[in-house]
Amino acid sequence: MAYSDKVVDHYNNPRNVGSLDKADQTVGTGIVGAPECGDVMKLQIKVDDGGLIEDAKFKTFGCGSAIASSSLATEWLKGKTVDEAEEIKNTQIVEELNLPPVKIHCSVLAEDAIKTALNDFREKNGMPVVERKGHH
Amino acid sequence: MSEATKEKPFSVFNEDGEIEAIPAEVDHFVLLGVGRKCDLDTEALETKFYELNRKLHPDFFMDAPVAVRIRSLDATARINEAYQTLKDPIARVIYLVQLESGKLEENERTPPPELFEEIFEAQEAAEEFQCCVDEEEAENLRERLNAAMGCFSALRDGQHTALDKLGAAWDEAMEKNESAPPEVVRKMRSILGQRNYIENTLTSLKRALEESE
Repeated sequence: MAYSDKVVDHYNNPRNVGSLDKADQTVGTGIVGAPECGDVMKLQIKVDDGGLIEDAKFKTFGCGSAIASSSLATEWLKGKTVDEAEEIKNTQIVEELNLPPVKIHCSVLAEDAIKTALNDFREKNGMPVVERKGHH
Repeated sequence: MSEATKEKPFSVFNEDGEIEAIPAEVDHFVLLGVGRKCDLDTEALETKFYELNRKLHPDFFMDAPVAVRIRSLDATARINEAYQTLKDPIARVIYLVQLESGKLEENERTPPPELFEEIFEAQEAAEEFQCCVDEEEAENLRERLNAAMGCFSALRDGQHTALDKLGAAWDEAMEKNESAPPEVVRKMRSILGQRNYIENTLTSLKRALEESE
């Protein structure tokens, strides 16, 4: 199976690799994993006073598609409000990166990481958390 | 113990001795004619496999009609897959648990935070070590990697011991003609759900240490 050009690009030049201070009140952290392949992903957002995501970082140990999915996710997160970020769907990641069916779970992992990070931020700041619905 | 199998054992051959298409729902245990157990006699399994393989091999059907040749190929592929899965104790348990309670993918996606913290620490240390140029720093990292290696190897051993025990409990319950105990199945799923994280971390640590040699 060949990776698409966009996956290869994100894999070779991952955007926003790194960590933010987990204890910071303005930082939300999402740590998730895929039990079927053992990939692990950490995604963090930093929200400014105006409620906009000013920074996003990730660290993923896993396959190229998982790295590309989280790298793309951090690009999309920047500049969005927390509520706008909630709207990012794994299907958009699949479309943008042209992921084959066997790699769809990588995009699901990225969506999970985003939502966990957003809820972590909400929880820290006394905002109501958003219930997760089932996904595919 | 064969009281439980009162039904006629499954056969790939019909009454006229011809190969039949194997229905998709026939599982690996039924196909190879061994008991549905966590702990099975691998010698008996091997004997069954070779016995079937000798009868089904496509070489014997070179002159047969196309439909028969295809059935021989399909059957050979199926028994190969069944044998490869059942002869490996871990692959067997994974297969059995999934037969009983559904795909492992349906597991919780948020595993214990303590384990994940250790995984990220180990993976990050492995990454740092691989691009580290300072000798003293590299020595410190190497020590950390070796410690992590010991830690994760112990975790893996612990998993195997726990799986053996749970497997014995499972088999015991099945022998009494009961179904698999839900508590045992749940514990096995949880262990197997963490297994790939531990294996992947061990692989990264090993690779980092080997590359430096």
